[in-house]
Amino acid sequence: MMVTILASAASVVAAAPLNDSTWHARLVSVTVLFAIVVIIANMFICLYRLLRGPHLVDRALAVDVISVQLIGLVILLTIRYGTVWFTDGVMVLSLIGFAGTVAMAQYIARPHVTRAGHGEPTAERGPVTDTDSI
Amino acid sequence: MPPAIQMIMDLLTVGFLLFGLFFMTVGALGIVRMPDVYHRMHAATKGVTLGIVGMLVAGAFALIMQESASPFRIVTLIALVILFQFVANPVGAHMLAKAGHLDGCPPWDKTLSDELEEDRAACGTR
Repeated sequence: MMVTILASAASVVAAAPLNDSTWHARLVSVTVLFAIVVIIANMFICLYRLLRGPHLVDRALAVDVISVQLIGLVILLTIRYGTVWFTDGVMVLSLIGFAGTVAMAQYIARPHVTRAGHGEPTAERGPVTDTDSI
Repeated sequence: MPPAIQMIMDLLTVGFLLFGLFFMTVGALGIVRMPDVYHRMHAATKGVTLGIVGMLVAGAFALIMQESASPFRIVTLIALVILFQFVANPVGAHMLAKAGHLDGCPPWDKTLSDELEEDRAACGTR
């Protein structure tokens, strides 16, 4: 897996040489490369919360943040590759990310028995009576 | 495009990109460092939404400068995505927070007030 990550990173870096026609074009190319690296580091940071999160809500939140970072990454790759035009996929990504978050929230709030020791004195909670709660 | 306009567009791209990148990093770090589920919700929505808006605006400037498509199409698409992000991110996090509270996520021990808890205790659904 590390090999594929490194290969894709190398292909992004080697895709186009730094556009050194003018000083501001160089600045944009270097900034976009730096931003790609930082966004990927942010995704690994969110991965820590995804693995660690003591509750399911933490994990759903981490997935939501990773999907938004992915939108940023797609925009950066659009700028980097120049001719290819990914922005229609950005809309689809944001819709699917939102739908996934809504689905996780409705699953978490389903009527069920909560785990003992989660800050409530009793382990049982009974069905959710306010049906229009969300 | 005259080179002066190109320089201005490039500088605007870099400015908005660094601005958006900073807030994305703040949001991602906030998810790791905050002590509570509800605090992480703050970090995940506010920071990340502002960051993605900044990066999308930077992408719009760069794409207009590269002349990949007509500026009208680029601006319309980016504006739609920004509008959707402003609506979808907070709504999704609010739903997650409500679901977490219903499921019994414990608040941080230095929490000052929990109004939903008080309302549910007053209604008798707790």
